[in-house]
This record gives sequence, structure tokens and C-alpha cells, in this order.
Amino acid sequence: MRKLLQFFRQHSSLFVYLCYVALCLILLFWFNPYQQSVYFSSASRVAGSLYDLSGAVTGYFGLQKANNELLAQNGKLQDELAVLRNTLALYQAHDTLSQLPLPPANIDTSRLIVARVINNSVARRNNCITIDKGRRDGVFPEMGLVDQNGVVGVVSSASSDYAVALSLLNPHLRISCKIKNTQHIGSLAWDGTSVHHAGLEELPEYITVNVGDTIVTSGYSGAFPEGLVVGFVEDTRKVKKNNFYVITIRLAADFSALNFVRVVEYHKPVEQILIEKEAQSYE
Amino acid sequence: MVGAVVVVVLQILMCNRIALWGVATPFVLVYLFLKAPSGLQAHLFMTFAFFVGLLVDIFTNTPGVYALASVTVAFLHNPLLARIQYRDRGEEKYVPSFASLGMWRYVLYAVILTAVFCTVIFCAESFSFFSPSLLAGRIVGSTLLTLLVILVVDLLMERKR
Repeated sequence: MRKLLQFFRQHSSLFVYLCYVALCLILLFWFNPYQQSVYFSSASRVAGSLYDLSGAVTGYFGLQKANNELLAQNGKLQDELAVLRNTLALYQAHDTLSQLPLPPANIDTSRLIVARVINNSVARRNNCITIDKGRRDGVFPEMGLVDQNGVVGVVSSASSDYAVALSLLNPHLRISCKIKNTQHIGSLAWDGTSVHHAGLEELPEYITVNVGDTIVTSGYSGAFPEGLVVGFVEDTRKVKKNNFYVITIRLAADFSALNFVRVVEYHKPVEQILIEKEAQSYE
Repeated sequence: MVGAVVVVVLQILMCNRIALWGVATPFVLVYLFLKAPSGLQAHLFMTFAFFVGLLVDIFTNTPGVYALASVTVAFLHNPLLARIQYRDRGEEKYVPSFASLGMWRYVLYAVILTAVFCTVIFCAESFSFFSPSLLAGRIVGSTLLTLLVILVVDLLMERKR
């Protein structure tokens, strides 16, 4: 027993070090899904995040109890959600029956909020942008960001006065795009190498593209309406990847010199969301 | 103390935005730990390092990354100093520098700590997204640039004295 204690005493700094490593790894994995980073990002006030951290540490002691409470609450909320969904669907049906269906919503439904970029990274693997507008100004997660040149990113988290967006230079972000004037859809993804380039993936083999062709958003994702410029075809060589093809495009926005961006407030028509959900539930 | 604040602010506001050729970022934060005097109490030093790292993490949206690297460097600081100096100084306290360690010993000391710091930073950051050549390039590039900055600052400081 004494030897054990002596062992601990001799290597105490090693144990303290291992404790800190464990703490760091918890932080690293806990906050890794970038979408959840609102608790610990420059979007939230520093003080707030520190309080959250201390709460998270003490919170471990009551984890079992908290888990049970959450399960109970979750069940209750699910019931409530089902009731609300039904009511909503009912009203929706009434609405569509009582008046002629509206034309599908297009770019007109998007209002533009202008924000200043206060923090921006291009050198890291997972690059983020912090802007000085938040929930109070109507900025919410899943909204798109564009600057004067083209698409910049998608808001991932927002506090009352700030918001953090995943920039296009973030492998976690994929945006549905198409080649302008055609209906060929691809998925834009960053491969982590160049600040000015990204790949357009999931293209079929038979299509032909020319250098300089414009790539625009397809409107399929919830963040952007159709037709916003994303970039231009840089290289027509198609690289095969999982039975589909990838072409290199030059991004329209200059990420190393972002200053002001516009937040695109775009809502898919409620009706579209509902029918898509319904279709998903049949799968 | 003022120096520590200056280094942290420099790291957050300036150095993190630099990426020469897309790979080399100077991590001046290492300087703070490099210049810690010998014989510090390891626990306190690691705690200090953890919170300094965490502070930078909060501002760069990289929870845990800088904290992990800082704590690792703080952990290695004392044992490394003990190994690297040419004579046993007992309880004597000194600040590592060209003068106190000798030119090449100090450079070696700086190289090891900086390389460890950069390696931990980039490995922790790229956990979910892997391309080995780019990772190696970033580690080597950033280590060299950081060393350059640190050693030049040190030479200037020494000259002034």
C-alpha cells in the first residue's frame, strides 16, 4: 500500500498530465460536431461558455438522474409533437382547399440581412466564419451566407448577437449545386487543399462541361434559393470517384478577403417541406 | 505577465490568420511556455498552460486543441530542461535562453518543444479529416516558421540586454 502511494507521489505530474489530456479529449470530441459549437464558440459570450463549462463538470455527478428526466421529457414532447403535427396538417388542408394554391415560392421569399465578418479562418481544416448578426437580427442556423461574388457558407449556430457559419472551405458542408442552364445536379465539397478551389461531386459521366461554365445553387437545399453563383469550372477533366465524377471548380467568393456578407433568408414553401417529409416517411 | 497577455493576444488576433503557402502558421504561444523558468511546480504550470490554451481555443473555435498542445508542452518542459543542460544546477532557477543554456542546447530545446506543440495541434485538429501528406507539410512548415519567429525575437531581446 505504501509502495503504491509512493508510486503515485513519484509520478504525480504524469497523472495530472493524463487528467488534463482526458479533459482536452472530452472537449475535443464533445464539441466536434461543428453544428453544436454554439456552446463553445465565438458566437457565444465568453463568460457564458465558461459558466456552461463549469456546469458541465458538476453536471457529471447527476448524469444518471438527468438522463432519466430527459427520457421522460422526450416522450412527453414526442406526444405533444404528434398532436401539433396533426393539427398543423389539418389547418394546412383547410388553407389549401379554401383558396387557390399560391405559385411556388421563389427568390422573392428571401429577404437579405447584411452582416460584417468579424472572424474568419482559411488555414484550418474546418473553417468557420463569425458574423456580427444573431438571432436578434433574424439570423438562425441553416441560413445561407453570400457576398458580392457568390455563396460563402451556411450558418451553423447563432447566439443573440453573433452567429458562426461553416464556410465552403469546410469538409463538413456540402451544398447541392448545378451547372447553369442545365439540370445536372452535383454536390459541392471542399477537399481541404486549396483556398480557391472545391470539387463538384456526384456528376454523371456523360455530361460535357466547358472551362468557365458557371456553377449555381440548385435550390434543393434549404439554405439557398435556386441560381446563386457558387463558382466557375476550372478544369474539365473528370476524376472518377465511386462511380461518379468530380470536376474542379474555382470558387467565386474570395475567402481570404471576406468583409461584408448577406444572410439569405430563404424558406422552402411549407407545403413542399410537408410533402417531402411525407414521402420520407413512406421509405 | 504583460508579456503573456501580449503573446496570447498576438496568437489570437494575428498569428492564427497567417498561413504561408497554406501550410505554415506561426504559433507564438509556444514562446510563453518556452520561456517559463526552470523548477516550476509541474502541476501549477500545467494548470496555467491548460487555461491559457483554453482561452485561445475559445476565440478560435477549436475546443481542446490548443489546451491539449499547451498542457503537453508544459508537461515536457521540466524533464526536457533537466536532460538537455550540460551541468547539474540543483535547485538553481533560471530562464531558458541562449545565454543560460548555450546556443545549440537552447536551439535543440526550442526545436523539440515547438515540434511537439505543432504536431499535437495539427493531429488533434484533423482527427476527422485525413490526408497524411498535407498533415506532415503543415506540421513541418509551422514548426519551421514558429522557430524562426521565436529565435529571431530571442536574438533581438538578447541583443538589447
